[in-house]
Amino acid sequence: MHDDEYTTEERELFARLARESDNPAGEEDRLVRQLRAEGFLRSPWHVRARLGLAAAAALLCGLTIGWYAAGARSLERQLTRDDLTPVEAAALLERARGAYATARARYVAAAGLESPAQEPSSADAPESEPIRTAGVLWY
Amino acid sequence: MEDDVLIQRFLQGDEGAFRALYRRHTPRIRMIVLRLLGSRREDADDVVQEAWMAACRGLHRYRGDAQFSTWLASIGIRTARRRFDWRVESGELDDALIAPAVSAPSQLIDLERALARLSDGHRAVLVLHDVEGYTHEEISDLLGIAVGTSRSTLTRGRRVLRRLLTGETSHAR
Repeated sequence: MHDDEYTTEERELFARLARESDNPAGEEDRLVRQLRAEGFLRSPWHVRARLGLAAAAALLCGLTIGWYAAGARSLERQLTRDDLTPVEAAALLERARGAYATARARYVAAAGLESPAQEPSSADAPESEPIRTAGVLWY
Repeated sequence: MEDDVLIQRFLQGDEGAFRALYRRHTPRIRMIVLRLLGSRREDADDVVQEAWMAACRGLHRYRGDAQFSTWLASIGIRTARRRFDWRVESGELDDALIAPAVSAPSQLIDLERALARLSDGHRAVLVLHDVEGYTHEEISDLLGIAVGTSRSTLTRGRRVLRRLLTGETSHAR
């Protein structure tokens, strides 16, 4: 049998066969999921936007908590507490002493004093923030 | 929007571009796969999915030498070919599975049924040559057979098809 042996009717029949078949529901989404899993597709913009917002919120939350935590442990805050145990008070004293020594060294350097043994006083200092802080610590 | 534009956008991860390509080209590739699979139509969706995944993985190599639809169809045909059982002459026939989805004249339904009854080899060559219009050289490349084998398979396939059509027509009447 050869190509030409189809009858005209048979050729017409072949020509009338459907060339397309409807896509079954769900197959497109199944494929998209697989492509996304394999990294071919970016996530939709709204998913990326939500992820970005969530990340920003988490970062802000972390920064806020960190800021509060750092504030609560600050020397100034600890000095205002009146509920310290003896051990805590001793630790605070040690910490304040260290802070005072540091502040004093900074003052000596900033004021250009020759002798580090010279006690700073508000009269020696220029009117600036570090001296006020040192004063509080000293006080 | 042109295929080339959609392909470029898809390669940049644009889901909308992929969906547009899928909706445009899947109906044809699905029909080819359905016919090639004959009575195993339940495998068609998996084959189409597999073909699309293979196409997406190799899309960066697509240079536009052939039309995208032709390139995609060749992947679909090669994917379907891997499910063929070249040894079996004719499988069990399930009329519910091979009946066309749309209402069609009885002669067309008879032809679809007869095609589905052919062996995988006969059906593949006959569908690709007589329905899809591929040449024997193209069929040889797509199915991994010699050109002469494609010709002789077509001849035998047509003979069997005519016998099936005659039998089915007389049976239906």
